[in-house]
Amino acid sequence: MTTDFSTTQRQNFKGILVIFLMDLVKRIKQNIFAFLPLLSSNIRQNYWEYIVTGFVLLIVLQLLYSYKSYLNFKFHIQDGRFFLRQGVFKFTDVDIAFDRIQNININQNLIQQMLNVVGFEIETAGQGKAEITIKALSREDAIDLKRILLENKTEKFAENNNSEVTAEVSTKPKLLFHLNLKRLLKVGISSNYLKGLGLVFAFFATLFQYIEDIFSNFFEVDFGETYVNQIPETLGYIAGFVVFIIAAAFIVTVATSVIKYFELKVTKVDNEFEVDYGLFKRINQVIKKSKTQVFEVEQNPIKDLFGIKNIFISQASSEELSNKKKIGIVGVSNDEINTMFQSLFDVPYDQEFVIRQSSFRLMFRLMTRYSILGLGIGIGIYFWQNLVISLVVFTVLISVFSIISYKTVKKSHIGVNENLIKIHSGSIHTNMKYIATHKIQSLALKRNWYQQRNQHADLLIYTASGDERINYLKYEEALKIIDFLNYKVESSQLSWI
Amino acid sequence: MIDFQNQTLNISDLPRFETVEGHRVDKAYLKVLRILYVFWALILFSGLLVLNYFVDLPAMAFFPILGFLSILFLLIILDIELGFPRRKFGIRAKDLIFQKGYFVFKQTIVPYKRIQHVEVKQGLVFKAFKIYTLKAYTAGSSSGDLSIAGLNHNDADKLKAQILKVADLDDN
Repeated sequence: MTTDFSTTQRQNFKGILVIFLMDLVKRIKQNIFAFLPLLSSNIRQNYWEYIVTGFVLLIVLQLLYSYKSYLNFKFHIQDGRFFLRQGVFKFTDVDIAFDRIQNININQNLIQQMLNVVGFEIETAGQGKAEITIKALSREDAIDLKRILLENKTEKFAENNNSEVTAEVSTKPKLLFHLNLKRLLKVGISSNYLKGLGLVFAFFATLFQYIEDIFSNFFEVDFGETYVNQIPETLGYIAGFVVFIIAAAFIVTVATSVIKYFELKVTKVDNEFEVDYGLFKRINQVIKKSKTQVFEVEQNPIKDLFGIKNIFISQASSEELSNKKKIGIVGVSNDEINTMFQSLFDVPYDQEFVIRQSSFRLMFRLMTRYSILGLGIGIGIYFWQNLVISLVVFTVLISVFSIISYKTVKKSHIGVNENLIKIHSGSIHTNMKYIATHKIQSLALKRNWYQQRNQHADLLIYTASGDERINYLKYEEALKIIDFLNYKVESSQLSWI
Repeated sequence: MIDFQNQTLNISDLPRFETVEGHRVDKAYLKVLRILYVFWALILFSGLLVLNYFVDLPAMAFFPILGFLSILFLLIILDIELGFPRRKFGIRAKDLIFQKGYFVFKQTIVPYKRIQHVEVKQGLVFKAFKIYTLKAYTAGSSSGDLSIAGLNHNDADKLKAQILKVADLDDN
């Protein structure tokens, strides 16, 4: 049973529920502050009838709205174009020619997984926001539709230059990389714990009152009074708390990476890569050679120990690219990096670069910033606790920051050769970004008042997926690099997309 | 001298963007900038004074705010007045160059063939002084776009024509 997409189609019938639930979640997220008064028991007791009626009314309205938006959401295919009409109070008509379609993503979030439908996203080229999201299709329909949209595109293309494409179409999808659970755990263990730590702190800051109660019962320590008398217990309390926080951060970090990258698979189809990952939300993304702008390789000491690296690929985008939108392929080995790199850039991963290092003066800039931060924290702790603790914390912070700045400066450099730019950065971790020279959009040199006097400059490279910055290069060298890159862009016949 | 592998061209023979003779933007733009900063200074300082008159701010709050505002405006005014002579644009056969700034001096190069579209616009104050802003959009985020404010009608037209001409040539 195949669906005929040339007649007008609605979404899968379960779409009503999907739309309703997704809209509901969105509304709750948007209006989370409206629930704040409910925290007061006074309001809860006095007005609960109104609250319940209000909620029921809103939910019914939302259900009607979602139902209407399901009814009005209609799409069909005709003459190599995809047509969509949607809206509740006002209608939007979208019309996309197949050959304008850049990417098709098939996703499944938790709600869609429960109802056994998939989300379908059509992405078009860099400009404008003509992107289409169909919230509920059966998996078969989605795969069918994707095949039709992409097939017609290649057919049309094949008419223009026959010989080249037929060879490409015949290649079978080939599984390039599959992340097993063992390696995924390694990825989790070697991740940056700061994010996990942040989450844990945010969580406990809200629950601090409860935690304090539990802990003081447990250790039988009363915070305020026995602070001085029972120093050993207090220290024990603090040590216990620190260990607890670190353990929690560890677990949270590992869990988030496992949930995010569960069953990561990379398949090679023709000249593109398809990436699938996620435990609760299954995400399917396509990496296109032409759309790829930045190829990022990340490593850190623990990852080196495990022999794994992470790759992040940024594709051309009309919006400011957040880290979330980068396509992450984590836990890969050197061989797999070579394969990916080779097929995306047509040159081997091992490249000779002419390297230009950031000046050591960058250290002053970083330390100035860190000192202000350290001073702020130190002064805060001075008012909260006392001078001794504040001085100790300040000293520790400054020494940690000095090491980080030193490493940052050491690792900051740019490499240039005939085809590629390599931007090397990082502090504890190491980050290497590769950009093909013809993918540069524009270039800039920035010099602050101080740099204008000591003959240094920051180099900015703008691509269709964000900006890259190399700090504190010697002015003369920065000029040479910018002239060279500019020459490469202007003399190249290759397009950025 | 940068020693590139597989060298096919001499680096010192490459066109050097820093030697390009720049054109200044229209003097009227300096007037506009002056009007704008005087306007904002008047509004903020008088606002602070009025607030102080009615609410009677404590000296701990009033003087730091006053000091902060004064220093901020001093820096802005210095940046505008000293930076104006440096506000220049250059036209080359294949790219557009723009530079500006006193405290932070920024030079941007945008190749014509990476420009997606051009926009010439005119705000309310600009209209009174007959000057325009030319924006050249590139793909991707907006931070790499080039915006040249304070062009007179002639320059804006010439620039736009030049960009469109080169873009057309590339198409054929």
